[in-house]
Amino acid sequence: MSLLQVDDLHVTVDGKLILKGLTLTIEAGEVHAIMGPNGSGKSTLANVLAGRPGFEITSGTVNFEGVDLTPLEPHQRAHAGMFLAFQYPIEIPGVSNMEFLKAANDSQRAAAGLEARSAVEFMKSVRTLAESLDLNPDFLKRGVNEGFSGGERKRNEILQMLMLEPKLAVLDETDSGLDIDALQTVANGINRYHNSGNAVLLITHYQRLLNYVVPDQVHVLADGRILESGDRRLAEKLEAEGYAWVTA
Amino acid sequence: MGDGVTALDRLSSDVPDWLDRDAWARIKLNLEGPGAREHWKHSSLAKTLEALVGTERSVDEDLGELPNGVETLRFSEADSATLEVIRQRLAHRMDWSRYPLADVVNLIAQDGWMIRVRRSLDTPLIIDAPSGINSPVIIEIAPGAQVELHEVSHATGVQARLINIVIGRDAKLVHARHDFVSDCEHWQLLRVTLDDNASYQLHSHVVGARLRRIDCQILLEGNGATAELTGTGITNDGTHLDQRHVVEHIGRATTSRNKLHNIAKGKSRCTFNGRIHIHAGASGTDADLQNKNLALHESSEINTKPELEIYDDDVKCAHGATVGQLDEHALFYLGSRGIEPSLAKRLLCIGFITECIDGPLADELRGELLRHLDS
Repeated sequence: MSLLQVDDLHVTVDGKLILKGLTLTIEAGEVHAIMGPNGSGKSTLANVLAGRPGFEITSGTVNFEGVDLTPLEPHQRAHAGMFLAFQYPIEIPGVSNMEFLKAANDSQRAAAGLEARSAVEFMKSVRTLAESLDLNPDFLKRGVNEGFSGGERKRNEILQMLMLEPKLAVLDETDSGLDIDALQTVANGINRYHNSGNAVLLITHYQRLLNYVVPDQVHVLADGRILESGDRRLAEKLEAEGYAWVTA
Repeated sequence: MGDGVTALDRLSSDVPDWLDRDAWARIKLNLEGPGAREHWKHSSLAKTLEALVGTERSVDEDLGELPNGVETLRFSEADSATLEVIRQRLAHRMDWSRYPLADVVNLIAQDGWMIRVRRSLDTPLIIDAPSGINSPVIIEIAPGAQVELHEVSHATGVQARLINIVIGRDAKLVHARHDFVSDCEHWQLLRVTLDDNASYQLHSHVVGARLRRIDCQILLEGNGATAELTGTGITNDGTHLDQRHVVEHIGRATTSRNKLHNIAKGKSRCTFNGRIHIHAGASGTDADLQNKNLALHESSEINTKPELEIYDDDVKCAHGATVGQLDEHALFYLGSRGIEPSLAKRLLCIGFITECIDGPLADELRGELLRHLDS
């Protein structure tokens, strides 16, 4: 049984068909990268996997460890092991990062039938994770993403991924807007997270992240469908030649 | 207003020495005037008046143990010079037509307290307001003094308070106030006058009640005076909250910040009216007023109206008011981390009010507000 099995997926947003028969299989232990021109449907795929309202599946199937994901609410998908690192993580003023992380951790542990971790132990582990991502632990006291730079927000997403330990992490352009040092830090976080029991789906415009996080498969998504798949050399070719040869 | 004015027949016609002789005469005029209709659009003036005149003055008033450096005096024990000061303080820039119940409260109370803070205080000055019609209070903060004031009340039933604060030159007052009892009808007028470079911070946290109306008027008279008003309001099912802030910029280079977040739950009514009035000659004014409201239920009623009145060109002035529901993007973000919808909504509400919780008693207040949020 595959970790994620998407078959012939059609999705509309505001009545407009965006995904037009997308098929994708991801096994545990794999890293996949999806590249593609603007407007091809990459973020739509990420959002529909996470269950964002407003993304309507008109046909096709999405199975996660053999279970139909589509009727599940976003929090239930997270409990099942799905994680989306947002392209534009939002601010939630007044809710401290630490309070948010503890609520998320407690919710997921409760759903798994586990007791909540003690506040002291939890805070200590989160601080350690933050330091490993070059995030000042003081950020944990501030509102969620409040006043964070773009790079800090992306690292905060990686912090959440490391803390929640999902089965599938979908990273929606997590590398965009990062300088070289921050990119390496994020890549280190992804590599630390990844193991034989989970999987990563990287959505990116650039090949440079794939220098640090090596994909098992690279896919080209254009006009709502995956038109080409290959190994990491496909990303290098796209970087050199663009998408015209795929979409022609 | 007919029934309410009839209720005035039960009011004593004795005008105390510390009040204008024409107080009694102007009550009826003001209660029926256009100002009353405009300023009491969302609360029943007649019902409030009826409640007040049917209530005795507070009998258990006790200012308690006061910090060193504080002197108190009953209005009834004031000498003629002090009586004149009291009369002037109460009438200073007072718009009786906007606050027609002030005379009613004064006439019921018949006496009041002058509290003089002579120097900086090591401990907070605490006013624990009892049930009933409280005696009007004048608080004078001496020039240069740094003072913290805690105004609390656990009163049930009808309660009315008039607090008049005068902050001397270069003095600073941090004022924390809260009203967390819903089982009451409450009206209050808070007036604060600031001298040169004086500073005032108000941290006000309240919940709705059977009827709760809070009027607040800030007079930035002195050059360089500053006022920061921060607060939250929560109305639960069946409750009413009406808050009105008026900030008068009169001196030069004065600054005001006014930030209020309200949450309306169930079938409740939550009103805010914020007015910034920049007088001619108040050059260099910097004023900002922001009111945000969350309606958590279809039958929750929110009224908000920011108003600007500007008579000087050299000013910076901004205002904004929003009424909305919980942010769907934020709910999705929290949900994507495994947080159930009910907890996600609670977290967003907590965040919304936490943005406006600061200053003395912040931790206690947060806990108390959360209790009302969950009730």
